[in-house]
Amino acid sequence: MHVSEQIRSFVQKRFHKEVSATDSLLDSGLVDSVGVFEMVAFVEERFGVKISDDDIVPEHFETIETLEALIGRLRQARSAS
Amino acid sequence: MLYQLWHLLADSAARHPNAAAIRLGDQRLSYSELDLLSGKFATALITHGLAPGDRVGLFFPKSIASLVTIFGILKAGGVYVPIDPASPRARLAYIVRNCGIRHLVTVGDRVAVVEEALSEDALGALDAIYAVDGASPQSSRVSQRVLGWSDVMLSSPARPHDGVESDLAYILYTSGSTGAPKGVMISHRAALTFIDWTHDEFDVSPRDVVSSHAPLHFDLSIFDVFTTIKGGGTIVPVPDRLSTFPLKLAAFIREQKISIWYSVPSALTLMLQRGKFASATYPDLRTVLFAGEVFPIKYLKQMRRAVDSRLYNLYGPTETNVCTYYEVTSQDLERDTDIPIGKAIRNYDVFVLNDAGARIAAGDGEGELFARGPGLMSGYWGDAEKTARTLRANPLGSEMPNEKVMATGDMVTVAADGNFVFAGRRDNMIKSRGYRIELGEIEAALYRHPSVREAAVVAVPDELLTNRLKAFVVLNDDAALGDGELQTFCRDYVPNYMIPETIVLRSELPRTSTGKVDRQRLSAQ
Repeated sequence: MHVSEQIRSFVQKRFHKEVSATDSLLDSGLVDSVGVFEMVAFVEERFGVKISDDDIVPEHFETIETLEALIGRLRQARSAS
Repeated sequence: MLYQLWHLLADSAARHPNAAAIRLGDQRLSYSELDLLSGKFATALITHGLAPGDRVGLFFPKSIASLVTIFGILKAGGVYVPIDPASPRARLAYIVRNCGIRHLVTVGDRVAVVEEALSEDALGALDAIYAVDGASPQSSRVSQRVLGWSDVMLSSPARPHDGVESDLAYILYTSGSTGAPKGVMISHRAALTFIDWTHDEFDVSPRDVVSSHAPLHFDLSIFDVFTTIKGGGTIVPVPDRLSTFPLKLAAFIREQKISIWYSVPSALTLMLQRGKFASATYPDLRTVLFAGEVFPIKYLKQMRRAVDSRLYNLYGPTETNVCTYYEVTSQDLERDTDIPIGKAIRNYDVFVLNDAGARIAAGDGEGELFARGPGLMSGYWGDAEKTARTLRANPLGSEMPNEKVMATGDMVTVAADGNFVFAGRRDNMIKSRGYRIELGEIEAALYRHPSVREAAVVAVPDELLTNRLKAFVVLNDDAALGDGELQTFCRDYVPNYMIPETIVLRSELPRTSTGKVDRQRLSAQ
């Protein structure tokens, strides 16, 4: 399954809402401060990346698309090292 | 003498018209501007039929407009009713109907949501909807006018309504055990009891920059808004996005030079754990207040070590606002048990009674905390029965025939130094992240599902969140549920933080000898 599909499935399961790749996860209060850290835990475990506290910012968690971009960047950095 | 909440604004505007009342990003409103704009909003309300005592709903994310409209409502003699912007539709509809709301303040992109949520009758009963973020939105279903902000701004400021201190100022809806939220009615007098004390105790002045972190439907906001205005300080609303990201929130406190911060403990704990809070200094932060849930001693010590600010635990249900307080000192670093909730604030009589109705002193064991004084709520809106159960005749007797005292439902012990120490709840109300949750309200939502025969929700203690929610459900014969179906179903009735994280299906629930569901047994499973 594509990265964005896996994230979308997680969001549906955990937050009980269907979202598109570009719907804001933050605007509606869907993902709150606890939700963000649950997403971080999910992403780290599912995609084998480590998200530093400095990357836990609105820009990366705004949409599934932005999160996917972050994951891509982290994976590249991981394979480069 | 200031006896109406809008007097606080009028008084401060006369003393420091050009001082910043509100600051958000690069937007700024001076005291005189806030005074003027709120006056215009009052006119708009009165023009559209608002009479003193009428309730006005607020249903939009917190912004500068929230503060302008709150003062406008108060100047018109109205009662403001803040509705959680993340409420599911059923909740919004319930509050509008239950509270008899005929004026609703929202933003343009929520007008459609409001129309969908309310029945034809409820929509028909609305005198006006105000969209505070722009020009007049066009609405298809609503026959009465939907006013945009530009319409409101055309008015001249109204002459404020000068009511009496026992008039209601606002109604805050909290979780209700039988499924429907209940509206806590707070008079100007009750609000001012809290505001005046916090203003004096914490020395709030024009030099202060006070964050507005708590939502407006939480009574922590009464300090953020009204105590700051009384003191002539500046309110800085915290953007929702920042609240969600502890790293950003910590930076916000530092960059905005917040001098007084007030929030639930979880917000502080999250910043300490994941927001590198202790790695920076906050030279302007002189006072930190926290309320709403127990601050686990492990994290409280980290907080005490992280800042030089004065640190206070404030305690009190919505029905009394804050009634006791305790200052955290370096001596508390030696503790291994939770800090006390402290002693009564000024103008409050707080006492503890055992089941026999006798006063409890130090060493007498546990009892229920009672509060007496002008800071108590006036009652629950439209619910004389629940009001009578909570606001009672003084069990210790009273010279005054109608004097009421409030049974808080919180159990406490009294320490040797006279401080009250929290010992748990008498009922099924729990806290999670500072949110007040009646387990019964969640159960009521589950029961609405046609496949559910029986449901019981228990709290699972959690270090960070105080409690997590777990539901045990018995389905009807031949019923089957899709994955996550019940939780998705609950979204329509209760806010996110009340949706059980775990749902366990059972063929039956354990019972006590009296036939009630054995919650203790379930909690242990």
